[in-house]
Amino acid sequence: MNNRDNGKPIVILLVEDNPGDVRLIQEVLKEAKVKNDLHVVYDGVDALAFLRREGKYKDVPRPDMILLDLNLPKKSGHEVLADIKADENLKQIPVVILTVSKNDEDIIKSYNLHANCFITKPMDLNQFLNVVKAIEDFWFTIVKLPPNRNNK
Amino acid sequence: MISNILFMVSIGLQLTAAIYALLLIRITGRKLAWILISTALFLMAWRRIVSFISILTTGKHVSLDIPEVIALIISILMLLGVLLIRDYFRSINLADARRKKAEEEIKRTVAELKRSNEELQQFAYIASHDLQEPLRMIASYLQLIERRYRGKLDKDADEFITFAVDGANRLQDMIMGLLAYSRVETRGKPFEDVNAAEILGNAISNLKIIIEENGAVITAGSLPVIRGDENQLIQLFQNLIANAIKFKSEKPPYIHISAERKDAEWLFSVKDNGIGIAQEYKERIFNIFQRLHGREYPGVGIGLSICRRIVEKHGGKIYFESEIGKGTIFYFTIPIKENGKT
Repeated sequence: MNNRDNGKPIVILLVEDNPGDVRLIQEVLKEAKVKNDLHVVYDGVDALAFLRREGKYKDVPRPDMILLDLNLPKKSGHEVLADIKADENLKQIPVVILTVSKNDEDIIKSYNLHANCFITKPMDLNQFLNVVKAIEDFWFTIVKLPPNRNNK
Repeated sequence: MISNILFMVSIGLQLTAAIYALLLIRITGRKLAWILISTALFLMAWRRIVSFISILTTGKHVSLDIPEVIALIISILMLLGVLLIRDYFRSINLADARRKKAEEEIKRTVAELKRSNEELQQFAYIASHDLQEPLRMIASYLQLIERRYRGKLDKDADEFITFAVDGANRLQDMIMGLLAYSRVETRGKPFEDVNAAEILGNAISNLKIIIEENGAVITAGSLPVIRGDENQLIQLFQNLIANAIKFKSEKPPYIHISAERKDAEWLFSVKDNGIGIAQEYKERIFNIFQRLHGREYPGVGIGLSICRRIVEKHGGKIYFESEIGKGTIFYFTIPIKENGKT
């Protein structure tokens, strides 16, 4: 069953190196209807450590969704995506690519690596709000997410 | 006595010729070596060769009684001939080397131009693309401040926020404009045959909302099939029609598009009944970010620059005729290409 059904907040992992974008997404999610628990990591290596609960991340919850930027330090978004989708434990978690890129190659590569959707960050704040609301509506209200097996 | 002296001189000259020939071999290289050596040998031995041939052919020794003076002249002429041949070959080699050098120079210049042109295009694209990231931050946070705090601060603060948001939005529009402008080159597709009537149809459907809002009427004569980049041609029509609507007079906009064949090109015209443009702006209006109006008309002044770039990329020209208060006709040409040629 979905997290939302038993009143627990949706756990979102945001992988984003631009603090401005992180804060913007935090602010926008504050206005969201669905209760959410946003966790942020700033690079690709930390993202995988978080997901595999390694090191300082050993007590973190398992995310219901991953918001992934493509331009990341240490390990690129595409590499992180490939690792997630190759991992039996992680591959059910929906990955939303949220990036400034409008590049066809980036888009095709992301879907080839089984990204669940690809969104270009809009220039305008209102459009950005709409995008986050659309993610929220679609993924948390319309779509049934896989049961979260080992959530704490 | 005299003939003896002449004979000695002749021998001397022949020897000199042989020495020169050896020297020339050093200078000219292997190609001419055999010619020069055999000539020198011939100069020294021609008398004996002639008598040898005469014995072979007639069976008796014929003494060639050619005066030494003539022998000398023949020797000198032959030497001169050799020198002339050598010079001829040398000049050919020189001309060849010069031509090759010039060709290489041209090749280098063309490559250099191509590279710097590509670099410029890349620069424009990267600059406008990468500039968007920090600008997105400025614009987003200004909008967030506006959204959260409008009316909660004093009147001055609201006004300042309005100016800052407006500035960020305009900068954003300009960068987007530059990006669109640079994309005419970087994102161009190979030319193909496209129906101008369909192109116009696409442009009109993209402008559906502003056409309806302004009650604009758009008509067209019969339009030809032309060779070009479909998306760019749609954008060209779209920009010209959008401008005609934006700069409308009090009357509802009426826009007519037509095309006629003029020699080896199609002359398209987009005629409106708008406010018109003064002739003095006939060049300036196509420059990037050049505008003839203030804030009463939105826009950053890139639309017609993009039009000109698209038309020029298709090998045509764009210009206008206008009468203030009556309307404007924008003309552009698209060359007619024979089948198979691009």
